[in-house]
Amino acid sequence: MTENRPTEERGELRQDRRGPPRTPLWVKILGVIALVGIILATATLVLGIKHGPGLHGASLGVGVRRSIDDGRMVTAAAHVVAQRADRVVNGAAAQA
Amino acid sequence: MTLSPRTRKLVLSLHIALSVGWIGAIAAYLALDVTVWRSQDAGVLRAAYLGMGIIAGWVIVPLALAALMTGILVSVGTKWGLFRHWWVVISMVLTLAATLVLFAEVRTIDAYARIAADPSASADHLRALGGTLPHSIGGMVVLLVVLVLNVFKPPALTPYGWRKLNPAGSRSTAARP
Repeated sequence: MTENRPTEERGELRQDRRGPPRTPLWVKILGVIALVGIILATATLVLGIKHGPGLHGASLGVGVRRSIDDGRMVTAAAHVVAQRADRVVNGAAAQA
Repeated sequence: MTLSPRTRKLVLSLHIALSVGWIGAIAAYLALDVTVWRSQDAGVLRAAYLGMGIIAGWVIVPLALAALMTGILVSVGTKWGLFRHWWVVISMVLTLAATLVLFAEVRTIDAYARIAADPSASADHLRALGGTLPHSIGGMVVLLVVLVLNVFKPPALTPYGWRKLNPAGSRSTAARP
């Protein structure tokens, strides 16, 4: 299995022996993408930045939107309360 | 630290199994995500959200952590090293990014699953939840890029790897004005 040996052992490596090699373009591109992902995900986790399907264009119900936008796990009880509140508000609006 | 050949093969086998399993689990998750995107039926949506919650929490997260740890172990325990070759560094950073995004996303997925588990959740609310399709597609692309990097192993050394390989060259470079 030659694949398991380092490339320099296989003679595939042609580095400039007089100085450190330059960083390849694919490394720079993939590195930037990865760092952006790490920064955004860390910010979302640590700072509690609002994140959810609302940012992807979906429109949510009132109770669900509130729960998801807070970035916390919603409980079924809270959801039921929010749903009932929606019904009360809708009923009041219909009567008006 | 260099692993013995037998241990190295064992850890490498474990790492491959976990990594491929991670990709497979995301493929299963993607199928449910596409179902959520396309379906309007409340029963189908409820089942899909519940499945997404189980797959993400009980399969994808453990596989991601285990694949990341075994990957670091394989690279540290072999001649490849963790910071000597760019393909190893980029693979690790991309995997770390994918894992962190997964941790951020799994809270949303869990919230969806809890709402879907609530029998009083109406069909309208389930339809309004949306999906996590951009993240699951992005995660799959990142893992496939890592897979390709690990198979092709582009021969590019980091400055640290170059200094390790050419101690004499690095000394003469450092001695230059």
